[in-house]
Amino acid sequence: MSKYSEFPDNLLHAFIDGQLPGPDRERLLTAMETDPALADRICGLQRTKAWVNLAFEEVHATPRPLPALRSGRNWPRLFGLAASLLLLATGAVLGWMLSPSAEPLQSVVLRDLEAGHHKVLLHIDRSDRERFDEILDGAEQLLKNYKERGFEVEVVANAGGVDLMRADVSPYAARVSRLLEEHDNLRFIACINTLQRLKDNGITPVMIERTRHDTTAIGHIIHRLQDGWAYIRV
Amino acid sequence: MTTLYIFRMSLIDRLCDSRALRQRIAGSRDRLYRVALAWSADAMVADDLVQETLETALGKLHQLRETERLYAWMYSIMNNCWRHHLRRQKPDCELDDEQPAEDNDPAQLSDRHALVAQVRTAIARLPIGQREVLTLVDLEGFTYQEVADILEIPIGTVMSRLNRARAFLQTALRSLRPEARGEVAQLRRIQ
Repeated sequence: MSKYSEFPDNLLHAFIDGQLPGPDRERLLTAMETDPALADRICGLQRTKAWVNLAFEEVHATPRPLPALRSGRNWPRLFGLAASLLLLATGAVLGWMLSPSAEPLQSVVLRDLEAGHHKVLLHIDRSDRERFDEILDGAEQLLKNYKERGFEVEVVANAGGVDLMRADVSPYAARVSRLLEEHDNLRFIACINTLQRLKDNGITPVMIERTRHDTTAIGHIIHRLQDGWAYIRV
Repeated sequence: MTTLYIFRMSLIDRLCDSRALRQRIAGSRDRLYRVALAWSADAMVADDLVQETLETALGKLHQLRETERLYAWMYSIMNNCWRHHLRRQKPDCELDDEQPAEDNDPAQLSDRHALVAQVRTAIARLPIGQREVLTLVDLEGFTYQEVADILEIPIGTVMSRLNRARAFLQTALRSLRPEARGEVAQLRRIQ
């Protein structure tokens, strides 16, 4: 035990747990070669650690289904209801949508989607290639990650956003067509009011096949919100 | 009832990350159970502890900021569940009682099953605080700092508890040492 004080127990524990810094480790290894008592102490600790592992290495939990998520969203639901009523009452829907994101609710949509409320509405209202990229990437990412039956994604567009779904101007017409071809649970909806305004201005938009244009964007959004869809505005 | 959500697109990344994390959580039942069993020494309690931990982790997944700390975070949750269980079952229980529980000196055992039983019995005799530290270090390989974070204790306490736990186990399990079973003596005779 001549070197006991030089190598206190804490240092030996750190050594066998792989948490001793390099220089101390080298010093200890060198000392072990000439100090059998030190080597014996380390061996004893290592053996104890091995026993602990051995005692539990063949332990397996009984298979059980994953616990159901607690929704725990009374306040957000109340908030949602109040907000919806406010929307309906005031009719200031567009102005309201332009307000900043309700950050605290992000956690709610995470939990809700994980809990099985798998319906997401993506909304775009500007003709912007970067935003088109973002919304198509987002839709694809969601569809790739959530393959459960019942999962649905809708892209709804108004104002400049409808350009995404116009075969005559969209930079992504082929991609939109391919996504619609590949995913039955994906829909693109262009606002009928916006299309009418284009026509009123002498433009006859050519829509990508299988995109829908039989409802107003705002009407559709309100309808989906009332059905509990998660709403994400790009 | 109506629900209303407004978000930015960056949330989609979080949604998909959360999906991957959820799958990792679902796959962690066995490793949680090993530690829960070591802590509680009771299969049913361990099973409930793990289930409660999984439920809490899934429900609070959005609160996890550093995904690389997933398992440390889950053990923090399990530690809270365990403390809650202890408060219900043993309100006066000391987490770091200096003295391990009394037990009869076990007879010398040789087969693996008996060895496992003897080691588990010895671990179960450790004060709870020492048991927690020992199992998180030895079974899960957490660093001392991670254990300190999980259990919300100073790192010095982690090290001293580990020291005492191993010292006790070395004594309690001395009959398992090769020299105690005559194996060293046999080797010497062969030489």
